[in-house]
Amino acid sequence: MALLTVNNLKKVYTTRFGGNKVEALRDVNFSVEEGEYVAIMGESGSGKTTLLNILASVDRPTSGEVLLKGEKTTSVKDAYLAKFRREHLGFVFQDFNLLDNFSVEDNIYLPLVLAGKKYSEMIPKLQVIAKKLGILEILKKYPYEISGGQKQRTAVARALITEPDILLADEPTGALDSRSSDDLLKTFSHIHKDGQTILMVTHSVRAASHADRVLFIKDGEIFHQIYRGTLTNEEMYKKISDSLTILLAGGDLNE
Amino acid sequence: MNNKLYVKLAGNNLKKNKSAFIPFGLSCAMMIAMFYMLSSITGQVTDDMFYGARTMKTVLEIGVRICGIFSVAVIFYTNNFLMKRRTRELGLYSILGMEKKHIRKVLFWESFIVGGFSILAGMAAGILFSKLMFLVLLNLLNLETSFRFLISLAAIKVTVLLFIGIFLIIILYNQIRLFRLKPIDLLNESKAGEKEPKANWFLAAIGFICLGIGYYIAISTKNPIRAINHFFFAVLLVIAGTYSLFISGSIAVLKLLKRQKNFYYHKNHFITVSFMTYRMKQNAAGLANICILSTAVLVVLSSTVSLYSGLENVMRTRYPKDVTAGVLYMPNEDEEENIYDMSLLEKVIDEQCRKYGVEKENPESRYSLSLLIGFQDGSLFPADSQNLSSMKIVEGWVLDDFKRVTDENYTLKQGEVLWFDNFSGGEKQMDLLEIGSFSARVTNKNELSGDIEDYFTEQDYGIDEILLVVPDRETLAELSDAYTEFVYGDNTETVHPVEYSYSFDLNGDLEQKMNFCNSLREVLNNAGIPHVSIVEDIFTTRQEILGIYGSLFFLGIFMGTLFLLTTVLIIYYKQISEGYEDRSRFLILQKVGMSKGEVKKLIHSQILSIFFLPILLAVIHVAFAFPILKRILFMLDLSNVPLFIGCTIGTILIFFLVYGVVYGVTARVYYKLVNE
Repeated sequence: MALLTVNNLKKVYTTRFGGNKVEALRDVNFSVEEGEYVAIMGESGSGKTTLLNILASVDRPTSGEVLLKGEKTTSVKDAYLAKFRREHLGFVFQDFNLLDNFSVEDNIYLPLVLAGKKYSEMIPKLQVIAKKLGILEILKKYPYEISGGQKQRTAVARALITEPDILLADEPTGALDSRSSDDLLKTFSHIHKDGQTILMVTHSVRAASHADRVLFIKDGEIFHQIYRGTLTNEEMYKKISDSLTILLAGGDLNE
Repeated sequence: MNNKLYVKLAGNNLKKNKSAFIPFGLSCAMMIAMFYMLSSITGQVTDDMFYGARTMKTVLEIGVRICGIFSVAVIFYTNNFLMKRRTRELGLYSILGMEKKHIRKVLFWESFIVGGFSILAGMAAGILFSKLMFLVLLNLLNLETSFRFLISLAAIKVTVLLFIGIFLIIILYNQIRLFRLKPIDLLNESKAGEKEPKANWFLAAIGFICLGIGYYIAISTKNPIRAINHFFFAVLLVIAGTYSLFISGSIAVLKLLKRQKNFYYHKNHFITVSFMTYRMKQNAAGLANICILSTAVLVVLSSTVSLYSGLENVMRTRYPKDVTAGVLYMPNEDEEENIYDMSLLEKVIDEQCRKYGVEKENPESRYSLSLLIGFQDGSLFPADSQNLSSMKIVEGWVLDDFKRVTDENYTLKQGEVLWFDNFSGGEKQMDLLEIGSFSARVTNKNELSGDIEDYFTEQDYGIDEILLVVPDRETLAELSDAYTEFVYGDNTETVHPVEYSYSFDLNGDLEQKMNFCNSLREVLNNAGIPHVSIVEDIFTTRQEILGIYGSLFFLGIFMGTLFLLTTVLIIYYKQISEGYEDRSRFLILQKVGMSKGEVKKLIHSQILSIFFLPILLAVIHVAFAFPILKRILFMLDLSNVPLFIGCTIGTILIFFLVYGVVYGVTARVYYKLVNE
C-alpha cells in the first residue's frame, strides 16, 4: 500500500462576494510510496501551493481525500490537527522559519518539546541528526549568526527529529545560493537513501532532478510525470527541462 | 494635491491605525477633562467659602500644576511611541512618490484631527462633569451644596490654550523627526537578529541587596522623624533595587531556569522562558517605571483615603475634649497667692454656656508640667539638640488629679514622688531624683498602664516618657523653677510653667458652639483670670483640617486616576507594539505544530506575567512600606490601624480591578494582531 494517496482532490476558492469561483485544483490523483523522493513542479498559479497546503493539512479540500498510511487526513478534527501534523509530517520552508530567539539546538528541539517528550529522550536524537546534517558545531549558535545554508539544514533537522512519515518541502532551495542549494540537495539525497520519504514542491529544475519521480502540475491537474529509472542526475535534468519546454509551449505531451 | 486629499489620507491613516489612535485620543480627552475640572473647581473656591478654604485652594492649585505637567509628559511619550511604530508606513509613502512636504501635511492633519477631537471631547466631558465633581468635593468637606457652580470661562481658556500648545509642539516635533529621517531609513526595518541578552549577575545581586536593605530600614525604623534621612535613603534604595531587579534580576532568573534542562525543555516553559528573556531586555525599564508609579499610586491613595476617613479619629486624638482652656500657674511671678482660684475659671465658663445656650459635658481639669531631660548612665543633663536619642519627656502631675484619673489610692509626703514610665533601662534604678535644686525620693516605680496610658501617646512615636506624680501644685511649681535654673542657669523668669487646663465637651447648635469658642478668650481675660494660655476647640480646627484632608483626598483620587491612566496606557502600547514583532514568531510556531488553542494559552500567560509582575512587586513594596507609613500617619494623629489596613487593601483591589479590565482588552487586541 502507498504511504500517501491523493484521490480526486478538488479545491474551489470563492471570491469574497460569492460571485466568481476559481478552481485551484481540479482533479488531482497520485500516490507516494514509502521511501520515495517525489518532486512536484509547476508554474506560479498552477495550484502546487494549494496542493501542498492540503497535504500539510493547513487547508481543507472542497472534495476528494488524502490518505496517509491509510488514514484520512482530510477528516482529522481541528483540535487534533496540530498534534497530527506534529507526529506525522515534517516541514521545510523556503524562508527557513527559524525562531530568532532560540539557539539552533533549541529550534531543533522545539517540536519534541511541543510533543511533551522528556529531555533525556531528546538528547540522543539531536546528536544523531545534527551529525548527519553536519551542524554539530553550530548547535549553540543563534540563527542570526549562521549562514542561509546552515539555517536550512537546521530547519531540516527540526523537521526530521520527530521521525515524520513524510517530509514536505516547499521550495527548500528558493532562498539559497547555488552552492548551498547543492549542499542541501545532497543532504536530501542522503536522508532519502536512509529511507526518508520526501515530497518536494519546487520551481528549480536542478532541485527536481534529484528526485525519483517528478510530477508536473498545470491548471490544477497532474499533467505529466517522469520516472528516474536508471538515469543520472544530469540526464534527469535534461529530461525535466525538455518536459518543461513542451509544458510552457502549451502543447500536449502525447501528441 | 489639494488639502482635501491630505485630510482624507490622514483620516484613512487614523482609521487604519485605530487600535493605536483611539486609546491615544481617549486618554488625551480624559486628561483634558480632568485638567479642566480641576482648574475650574480651583477657580470656584473662594477664601471666604469656609474656614480653611485658603489652605485648600493652595493644595488644589499645586494639584492643577502637577496635573498639567503630567499630562504633557504622557502625551509626549505616547506620541513618540506612535511615531516610532509608523516609520515603515511613512517610508512606503515616500516610495510611492510622496515628498517629505506631502507627508508633512498628512502628519499635520492627523495630529490636527486627533488634537481637535480630544480637545472638543475633553472640554465637553469636563464641563459636563465638573459640577458633579464640585458637588463631590463639597460633600467630602461636609459643606452645604448650596454654592453656585458656574462654567468657568477662565478655566476653559487656560485648558484649551494649554492643550492647543501641547498639540502644536507635538506637530512641530513630528515634523522635525520626519525631516531628520532619510528615505531609506523610512523603509528599512531592522531585521537583523537580536543578540541574546546576557545576565548581569553583579547588577542583579546589587538589586537584591538594595531591596533587602531598603525593606529592612522600612520595617525596622521605629521613629520616622528621627530617621527621616534613613527613610528617604530606603526609598531611593528600593527604587534602585526595582530598576536593577527588572533589568538584570529578571534575566538572571530566566537564565537560571534555562539551565535547569528538565524544567526548560518542558512544553509549558520552553517558549515562555525564551520569549520572556527577550521581552525583559526590551521592557525592563518600562516595567520598573510601571512598578514605581503603581507603588506611588497605592501609597498616595491609601494614605489620603485613610487620613480622610480617619479624620474623626485624628480629631479625637488631638482634642480629647471639644474645648480646652488653660491657665499658667506661676506663683513666683505674682505676689498674691489667692489669685490662682481655679473655680473662677469654671464659673466664667458656665456663665458663657448660659449666654450661648450650649451645654457643658464631661469637664476635666488638671495641673501639668512638661519637661525634656537627657538621661545617661543614671545622670541627668539639660536637653539639647545633639543627644536627641537620650532625651526623655518628663511629665509632672499632682497627686489629686492622678487619683481622679486612675482611681488608685496612693499617698505621698512632701519630698516624695511617684514614677511611671514606658521604657526599660538603667534610669529605672534611680531612687533619688535630683533636677537642679529639686530633689525628691522616688517611692514607687511602675509601668504606665491602664487608663492613665491614654494620656501619654508620645510612645507611639518612639519617645520615652516618665510621669512624675508630686504631692501638690506648689511642689510642681518648685520643680518648674528648678528645671529653669538647671537648664538656663540663674534665671528668674519661668520658662516652663505649670499649666492648669480645663477641658469639656459642648452640646448644642454648631454655630452657637463656634460663637462660644470664638469669644471665650476675651471673656476669660475680661473676668480677670491671670495668664490665660491656650484656648482651643475642636470645631474650627476640624473645619480647617477637613479642608486640607478633604482636598488632599480629592486630589489623591484625581492624581491616582491620572497615574493609573498613564500606567495603563504605557502597558497597552508596549503590548501592541510587541504584537507586531511577535506575529512572525507565532506564525512559525503554528507551522511547526502548535495549535491555535496552545498559542492562545501561551499569549495569555505571557501578557499576564508582563502585566502583573510590576503590580505584584508594587504590592510587595507597599506591604514593606506599611509599618513606616503607619508611623507617619501616627504622627498625623491617625492611630486607627485597621482603617489604614482596610483602605490599603481596598485601594489595591480597585487598582487590580481596573488593571484586570485593561489586561482583558489588551490581550484581545494583541491576540487579534498576532492572528491576523
